[in-house]
Amino acid sequence: MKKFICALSTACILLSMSMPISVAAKDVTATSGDTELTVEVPANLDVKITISGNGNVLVNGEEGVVNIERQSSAVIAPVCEEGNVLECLIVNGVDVTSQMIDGTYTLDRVHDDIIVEVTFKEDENYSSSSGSSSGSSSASGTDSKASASSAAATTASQTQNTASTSSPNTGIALGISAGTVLCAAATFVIVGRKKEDDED
Amino acid sequence: MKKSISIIAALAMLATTAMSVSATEITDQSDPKTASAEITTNIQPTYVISIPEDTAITFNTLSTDLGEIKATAIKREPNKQVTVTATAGKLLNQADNTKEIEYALMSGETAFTSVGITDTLTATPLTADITQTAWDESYAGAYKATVTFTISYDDITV
Repeated sequence: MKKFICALSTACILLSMSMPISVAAKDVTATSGDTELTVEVPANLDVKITISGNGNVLVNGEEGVVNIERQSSAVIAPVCEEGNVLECLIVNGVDVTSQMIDGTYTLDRVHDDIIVEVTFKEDENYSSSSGSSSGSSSASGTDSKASASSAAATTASQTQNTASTSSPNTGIALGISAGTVLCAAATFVIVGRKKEDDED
Repeated sequence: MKKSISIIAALAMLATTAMSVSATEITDQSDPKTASAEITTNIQPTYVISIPEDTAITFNTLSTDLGEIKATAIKREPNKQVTVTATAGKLLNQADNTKEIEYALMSGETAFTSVGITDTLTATPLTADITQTAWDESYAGAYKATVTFTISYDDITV
């Protein structure tokens, strides 16, 4: 009897030991996590303007523009001061001087900040006497802004052409007429003095 | 910087507990005078997966690093892997959700959908790529998207 109980208990122990504790991999709970992405698209864009030389830049017809509405157009117009011409216009690192139409450069549907670099230089063909007599705006006594605006729609080449065709000729004509007046005045004075001498 | 998702089986404690071994009596009367004992145990799979943190994408950036997917700890069965699947939600304008910015969830040069992880050495970097055209056409405002990473424990598929 004792042997039977001993054998039975041994069998039970062995049986229990042989049973694995099984947890299937499927029991592992799948889970998830979220990652949020955010973006801020600006409503306005910055306009950064650098000017070298004597002149100004109008953006959409206005001076001192620092930002414009995104997706709108930007019309960039360099404005030379009297006696200066545009040397180059660089927009976002690209020289667009040759792409200007009627003195302006237009960016359609602007979607990024604009960096404008403008360089003006002195007009070699410009002389102050010709400027004062031939230019209607400056001759009529308007301020420098007005005279600069009148030059807004001219590119460097156009400005140079205008200067070379009008200024020298006008200068010569003026010189001749002034000399004639002086000669006439001197003759008048001399004749007048002669008459006085004769009367005495 | 990284989010961690810890998956631990509910019965992990039990799994790592070895069964006690009871002594088998062998007496002078036993024949044969040998006995054997079978010892079994079961180690449950556990893993900790890192997924990218919330990220603010800078306007006009073509490719933004989001971080990487990797296992910081993994205990798995042979022929099993932890699969991380990503579902990229739309990047919608918060003021008008009919407006969206198209983007692609990328891992290197390929679009990312899922990755099977078997060790802690391998990391999968992710980026959110937005084309210049998509930026140019986007409307002003705040946008938000949710990328959902789902983790599962699967057979390794060849």
